[in-house]
Amino acid sequence: MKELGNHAVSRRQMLRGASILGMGAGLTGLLAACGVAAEEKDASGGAKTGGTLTLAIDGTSAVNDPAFYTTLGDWMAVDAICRGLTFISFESNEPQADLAESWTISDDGLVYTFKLRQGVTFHDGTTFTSADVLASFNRQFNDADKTLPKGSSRPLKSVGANLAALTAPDANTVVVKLIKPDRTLLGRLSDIGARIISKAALEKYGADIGKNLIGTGPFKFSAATSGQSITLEAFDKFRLGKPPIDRLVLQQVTDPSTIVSSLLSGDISATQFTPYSALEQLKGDDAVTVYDTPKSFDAFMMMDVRRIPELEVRKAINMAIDRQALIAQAFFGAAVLPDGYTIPPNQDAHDPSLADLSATNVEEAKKLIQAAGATGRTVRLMAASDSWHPKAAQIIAQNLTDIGLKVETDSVDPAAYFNRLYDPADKFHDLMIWERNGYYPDADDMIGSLAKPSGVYGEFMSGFNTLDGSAAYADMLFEAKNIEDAAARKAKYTEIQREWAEKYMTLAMLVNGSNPVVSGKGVEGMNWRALGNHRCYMDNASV
Amino acid sequence: MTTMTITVPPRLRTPWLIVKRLLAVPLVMLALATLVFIAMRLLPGSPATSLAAGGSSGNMTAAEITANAAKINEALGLDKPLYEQYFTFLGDLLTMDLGHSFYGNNSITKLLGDSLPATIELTVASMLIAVLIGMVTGVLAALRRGTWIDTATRAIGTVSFSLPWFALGVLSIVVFGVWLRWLPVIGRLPNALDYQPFTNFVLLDAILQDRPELILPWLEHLLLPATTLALSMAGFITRIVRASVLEVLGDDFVRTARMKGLSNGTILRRHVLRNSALPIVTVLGLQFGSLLGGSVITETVFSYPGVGNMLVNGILQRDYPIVQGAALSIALLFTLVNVVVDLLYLALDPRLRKA
Amino acid sequence: MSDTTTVARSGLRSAFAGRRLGRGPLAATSWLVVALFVVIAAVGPLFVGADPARNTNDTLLGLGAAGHLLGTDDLGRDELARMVHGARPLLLVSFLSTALAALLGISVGMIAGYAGGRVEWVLMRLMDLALAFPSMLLIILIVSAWNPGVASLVVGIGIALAPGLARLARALATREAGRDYVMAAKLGGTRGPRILVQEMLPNMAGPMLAQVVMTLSVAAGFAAGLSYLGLGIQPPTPDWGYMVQAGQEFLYTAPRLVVMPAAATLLFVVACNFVGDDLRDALDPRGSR
Repeated sequence: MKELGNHAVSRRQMLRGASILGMGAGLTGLLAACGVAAEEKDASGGAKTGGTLTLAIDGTSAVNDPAFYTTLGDWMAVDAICRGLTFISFESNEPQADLAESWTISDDGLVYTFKLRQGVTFHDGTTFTSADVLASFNRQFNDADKTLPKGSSRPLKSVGANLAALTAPDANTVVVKLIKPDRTLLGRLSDIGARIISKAALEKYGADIGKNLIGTGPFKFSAATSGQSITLEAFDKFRLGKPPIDRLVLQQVTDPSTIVSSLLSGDISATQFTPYSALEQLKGDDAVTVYDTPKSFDAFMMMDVRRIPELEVRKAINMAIDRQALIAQAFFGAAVLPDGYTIPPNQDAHDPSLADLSATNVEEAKKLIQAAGATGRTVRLMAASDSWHPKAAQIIAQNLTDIGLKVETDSVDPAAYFNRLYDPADKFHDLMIWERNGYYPDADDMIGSLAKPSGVYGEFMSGFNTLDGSAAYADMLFEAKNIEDAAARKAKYTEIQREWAEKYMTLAMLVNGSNPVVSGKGVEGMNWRALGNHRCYMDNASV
Repeated sequence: MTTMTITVPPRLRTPWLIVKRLLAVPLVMLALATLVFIAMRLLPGSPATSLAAGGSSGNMTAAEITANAAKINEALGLDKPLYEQYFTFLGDLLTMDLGHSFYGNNSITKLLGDSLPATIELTVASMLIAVLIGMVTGVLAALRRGTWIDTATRAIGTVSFSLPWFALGVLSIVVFGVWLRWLPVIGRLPNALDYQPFTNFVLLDAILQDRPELILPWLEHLLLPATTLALSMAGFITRIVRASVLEVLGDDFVRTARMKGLSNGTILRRHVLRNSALPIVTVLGLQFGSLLGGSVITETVFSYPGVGNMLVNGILQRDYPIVQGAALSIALLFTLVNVVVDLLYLALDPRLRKA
Repeated sequence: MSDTTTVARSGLRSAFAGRRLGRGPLAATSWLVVALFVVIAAVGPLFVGADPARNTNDTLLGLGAAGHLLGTDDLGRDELARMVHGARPLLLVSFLSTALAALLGISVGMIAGYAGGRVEWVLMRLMDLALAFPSMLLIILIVSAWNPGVASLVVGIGIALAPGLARLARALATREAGRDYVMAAKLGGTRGPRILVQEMLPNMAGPMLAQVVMTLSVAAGFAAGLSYLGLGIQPPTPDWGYMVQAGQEFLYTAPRLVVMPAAATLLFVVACNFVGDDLRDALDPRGSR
C-alpha cells in the first residue's frame, strides 16, 4: 500500500481534475508530487510523524456542524476541526483558555468579557476575530438564521435563552451579558456545540457549512461519506503546531465483533466503542493497549412516579439491584459502584459519603414490597437493545423478580427506544434504563439535568414534576451551580442529592461506567481520557 | 439464507414478453415504493424527536424539545398528513428526485452513487466466485455420481448454502483477518490511500485515472466479503449443475453422441455445459435477490460501504429517504438483473430464439 | 389418465410406509435429526431441571462444570437448559411460518391454476410482485414495522415464502385441472372448492409436500437470521438465533457460546434440506434421477 501523505488538494478539486478523462497520468504525477513534498517536510520533525490514524465511530451522517448533533462520530470530527473560546483537557476539570486568551467576569456574574487570541488562522486562510464568534453563536440563537441546516438541534440554544446581549466592542473582544448568572458558562463554551466557525465560510456555504466545516483546529475537513467515514487532514498552521499524523479517519464500524477484530488486525487504530465483553481478552493481547478510562458516565434506571406512585416501592426497587453483578456481567469490570450517586468519580463534586443511596439490600427490599402490598405486582422495564443496556435489563429483571415483583421486559433498537422515553403513555414506561454522558465534567451537567423538574428526565421520563416540592429543585440547582467556592459547591450538591434521593427516589443509580478506550500498540500521545468522553483530541497522537 | 426453488419457473417465450416485462418495471417500483413508504411510517420511533434533543438533551425543557421537534417535523415535511407526504414522495420519484436524508441533508442520489457501485462490485465478484466453485464441484459430483465424492460434495454444498451469512462472515474475519492477518477486515480500500472516485467502480477508476496501485488493495478488501456471499450461492449452483449435468447425460442426444464414440470430456464440452448453462443462468437470476439480501448482512459485518449498509443505517436512524432510496435501488437492481437473465436465456436457448 | 391418479395416490402412501424414504445414510440420518429435534423441542424442557432464564453469579463456566454439563453463559445461566429450551422458538417459527406459507401459497396457486383467465393473471402478478423484492428485506420490513416476536416472524416469513409455493401449486393445478377426473367431477356437479380440496389436492400432494419441506429449511434459516439481527425472540427467552448473536461477544474467550447454538441451527437447516431432497426423490417423478 502506498502512503501518499498529506496534500492540500481537496476532493472537489480532484473530482474536477478527474472529470477530464484521459488526464489520468497527470493526476498521478500531481498526487505523487504532493506526497513527496509532504514527506520531505515531515522528515525534519524528529518524533514519529506521518501516517493515518483511524478511529472507529458509531456512525456518520456526513454533516459536521456544531449546530447540528447527528452522531457521536460526527461530533468528534467537529471537535477536531473547530476550537472554542475555552477548552476542557480532561486532565483537569477547569475550563482553560483557548481562542479566548483571557476573560474577566463582573462581580454580579452577569458580564463575561473575553479577550480573543490574535493571529489564529482558520483552515480557509482567514484570521480569527470577534466577528467569527458572533456569527458562530448567533446562528444557534436565532430561529430564522439562514445558515441553519434543516433538522438542526442547536445545542447552544439554551445558552441563548439566558442571554441579554452578545456584542463585540472591537475585533479582539467579545462581551457576553447574561440574564441570570451562570458559573457553568465557561464550561459550556468548551462544549462541541460552542465551537467557532469561520464567518467567511458561513457566508460562503450557508446551511451547507456542515459539509465544508472550517475551523481553527488541528485537523481540517477533507471528505465525508454518510454511513462510511470522515477524512480529516493535519492542519499545518494549527496554533499549537502541526499534528504528527497526516490524516485522521473516523470510520463507522457498527458490528461489535468487527470492532474487536479490526482492533486486533490493525485496521482500526483506536476506539472508545470497544464492546465490554472483549476487554479481558484485549488486555491479554500484545497487539493492543487497553486504557484505564475514567468511569465518567451515569448508568441509571429512571422510575416513572405516575406508574409507580409509592416511594417505598421505588426505594425497594433501588435496593434490589445487584450492582456487583452489573459491573461483572454487563460491564466486565469497566464500571464502579456509584458511590457519589449521580456524580461520577472523575468530577470535583463527587462525594463517596453518598454510597448508601445506592446500597443493595434484598431482604429490606422484600419487606418494603410486602409492606406496600406490592408483592406480585407487574412492573414493566424497558431498555435499548445496544451495548450494556439489554444485559442490565436482564439482570435487573431477575433482581426485581427476587423481591416479589413480576417483571415484563422489552428491549428495542435505540431510535425507537429514544422515542419511547419521551412518551409517558408507552406501555413499558414504568422503569427505563438509560445513561448520561457529560461532554464536560461538571455536576451541573449530571445532577443539574437529572434532578431538574423540567426537561427530558423530570417531565418526560420520571414525571418528577408532578410531585409536591419538585419545583424547588430548579432554584436549588441554580443556586448550587453558581457557588464560587468548590468545597461549598460540593457540599451543596451532596445535600441536594441526598434529599432528592431520599424524598423522591425517581432515579436508581446502577453504576458509573466508562467508554473503554483501546488502541493499537503503535498509537502514542493520544488523549485517551478525552476519547473516553467521546471527545477527539488527536493533535499529539502518532501512529 | 438461500431461497431454495427447485422448479425453474416457466420462462418467457418471446422477446415481446421481455418488452412487456420491462414495461412492468415502473409498476413494480410503484408498488415497492408504496410498501417501503408505509413500512417506514409504521416503524416505531420518529426522526424528529431524536434530532430535537441531540447534543443537549439535559439542558432543554420538555416544552423546548417538543417545540424543536415540531419545527424539525415541519422542516422535514413530516407534519403534513400522510397522504400528502405520500403524493409528494411519488411526485418526486417521477422526476427522479429521491430527496435528501433527514440526517445531514445528503442527496440520496449522491449517496447511491457512492454505495451502489460498491454493492455491484461485491455481488458481481461473489457471483463469479460462486459460479466458478459451483461449476467445478457440480460437474465433478455428477461425473462421480454415487461415489463418496458425490455425497461429500452434496453434503458440503448443502451445508454451505444453509450457513447463515453472518456466521461465515464473522468466522472468516477471525481466521483470515485476526489469526492469519492475511486480509483486511473492514471497508473497501485502505484509509491511507487517496482515492478520488469518478465512476466509483474502483477497477474502472484505476484504469481511467491510471492508478494501478489501487487494484491490489481493492481486491484484498473485496475477497473476504465476496467469498462469504459466494459460498452460500456456490452450494446451490453445485446442486443445479450436478442435476442438469445428470439430466443432460441421460438425454438421448448424449447417448447418441456417446454411441458415436465421443469421449466424456468432449460430450461435456459440446453438450452438457451448453445445456446446463440455461438453468445456471436462471438460478443466478433468482438467487441474485437473496444475494442482495445477503449483502445487507455481509456489508454490515465487514463495514463495507454498500447499499445494504446504507439501508441498515437508514432503518436504525429512521431516515426515511435513505431507506426509500436504498430499498428502491436494491429492488430495481434485482428487477433489471432478471431482465438481463431473460435476455441471456433467449441467447442461450436456440429453441426459444426460433419461437 | 385415471391410472396416473391411482399411481400418485398409492405412491404417496407407499413412500410413507418407508419403502422409498430414508434410503442411504445421508437421508436416514437427516430424518433422524429432524425427528430428534422435534422431540427435544417438544419434551426436552421437561427433562432439564435448570431454569434457562435464571441468572447466577457462576459466570462463563466451562464445559463439564459441576452441575452444568455445557457450562454457563455470561449471565451465569445453565447452557444445557438454554440449548434445550432454545430449540422451541426456532422450530415453532419454522413450522408455523411454513404452514402459513403453504396455506397461502397452495390456495392462491390452486385457485389461479383452476380458475385460469383473469383471476390467474391477477393472482400471479401479485405473487411476481412479492418475488420482485428480496425476501429478506420483505421480512425485515414486516417484522420491524410490527413488533419483533414469534407472531410477526411467522407472518413475515410466511408471506415471503408463499409466492414460491404458489408458483409450483399453480403449475401443478393447471396440469391437474385438465385431467379427466376433474372434468368428470365438474360434470357431476361438484362445486369448485370441493374439487380443489378433495379431488385435486391429493393428486398434487407428493411434489407439493417435497417443496413444502424444502421451504421449511428456508424458513428455519430466515428465523435464525432474523433472531440474529435482534428481530426475533426477545430475551430472556432462550433462542438459538439470539444466543448466537449474544454469544458473538465471546467469540474469542468462550467460543462454545456461539458454536453450540450455531451448529444446532445449521444441523436442523441442513437436515431439513436433505429430508426435502429425499421426499422429492421419493414423491416427485420429475425430481427423481
